[in-house]
Amino acid sequence: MVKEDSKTNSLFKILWVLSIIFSVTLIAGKAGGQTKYEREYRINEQDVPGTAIEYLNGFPFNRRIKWYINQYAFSETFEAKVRYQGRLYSIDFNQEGILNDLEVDIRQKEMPKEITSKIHHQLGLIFERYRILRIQAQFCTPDLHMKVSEGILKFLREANFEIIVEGNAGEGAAQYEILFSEEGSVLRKEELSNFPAFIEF
Amino acid sequence: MHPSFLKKILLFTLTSLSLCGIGNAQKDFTTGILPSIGLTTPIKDEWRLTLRMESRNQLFSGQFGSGISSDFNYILTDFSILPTRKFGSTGSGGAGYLLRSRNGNYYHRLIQQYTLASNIYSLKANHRISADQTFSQAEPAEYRLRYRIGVELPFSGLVIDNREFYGKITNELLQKLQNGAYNLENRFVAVTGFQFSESHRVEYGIDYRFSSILSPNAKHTFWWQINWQISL
Repeated sequence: MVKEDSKTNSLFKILWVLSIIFSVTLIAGKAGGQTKYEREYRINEQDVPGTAIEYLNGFPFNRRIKWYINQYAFSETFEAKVRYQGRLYSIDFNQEGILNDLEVDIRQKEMPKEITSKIHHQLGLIFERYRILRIQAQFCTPDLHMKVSEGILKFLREANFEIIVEGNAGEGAAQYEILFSEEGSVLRKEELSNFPAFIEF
Repeated sequence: MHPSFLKKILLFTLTSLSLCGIGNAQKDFTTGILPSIGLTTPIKDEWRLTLRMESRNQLFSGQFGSGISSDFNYILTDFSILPTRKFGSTGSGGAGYLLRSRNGNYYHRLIQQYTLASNIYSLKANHRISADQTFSQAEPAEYRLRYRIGVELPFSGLVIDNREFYGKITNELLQKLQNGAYNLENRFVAVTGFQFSESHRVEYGIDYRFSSILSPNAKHTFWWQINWQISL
């Protein structure tokens, strides 16, 4: 049985309609500013260039490999992710299936001490306060099959380091991805996507 | 880290849900729809403002095993305003106000909440602790303390991109104190969402509420949630 609407209920119904119209207007206004295209999604192995599959077969990985495609405005890359000996490996290939780089998650205490001090020195110059969230060692050399088989940690002095940092550079805290060379100098610094957009819901 | 965190969420959810069946003699239930619109906009520096409208409409009611009857009934509408401040790159806290219209009465609620988000590879986890105090001429004041845990997972790839579907599961425990009586409610939500753009999402799914883990006459309510979220 439908209860009779009171004046208050009618007022809230009007507010509902107005809020929908207002929201649609806001979205229409905001949509015009969206120009950056970047998308990644899972793909099957049969959609990956054979060169990349063949290259990956040279590694001693014994667990399932997940393939992803990273689409950008004018290019795309193929990325394989696999767990091996407790670490997450990400191997990136270009559109032709040629290796771009291999990245592996490591802990700060596993890094060479002199590189760690140089990186902390650099971070101290950039940020008032910072906290390291994630470290990946990045390799671009051709002899990666050997390095992974013998234990990747032995070769960290030859690696670049991609570090995710939460830091305050004077304009509020944000997360950054910073690439350091094997000598500990900054090669690239990029602010990551901002504060979680829908955190209040 | 990823599998163990999932285990903790699963354990918390299953424990809460299993408590919902203890000592429940009469299994009354109601179903309905719960549409909402929410808008979050930056104000200045670290501050944001969230406006939200939510309506509750009952459709059916009955008892488990005894059939279901059509029972359409508009229940209430909530309008809330919540200014929040960013803390770090993943925290948000604030205090706000909610106005509820129900059965011709007005309810005034003061809200305090803190939310923390974290990424575990492709999984986004979210913790929310909140307290609220509700005042009305129709009922004694009600005081609640809430904890909600939730996870968000893209259906495709490792990140929720635009024009992609994702799943979200949350479980919330609400402690209530009203007129000297203590109660413990559990809410479990499982929704599918679609991200139209970085500022626009729609979610739909089920919101299951068990009115009291402590009472043998507690009610089950199943709300069909339809959420429209805008973040500028």
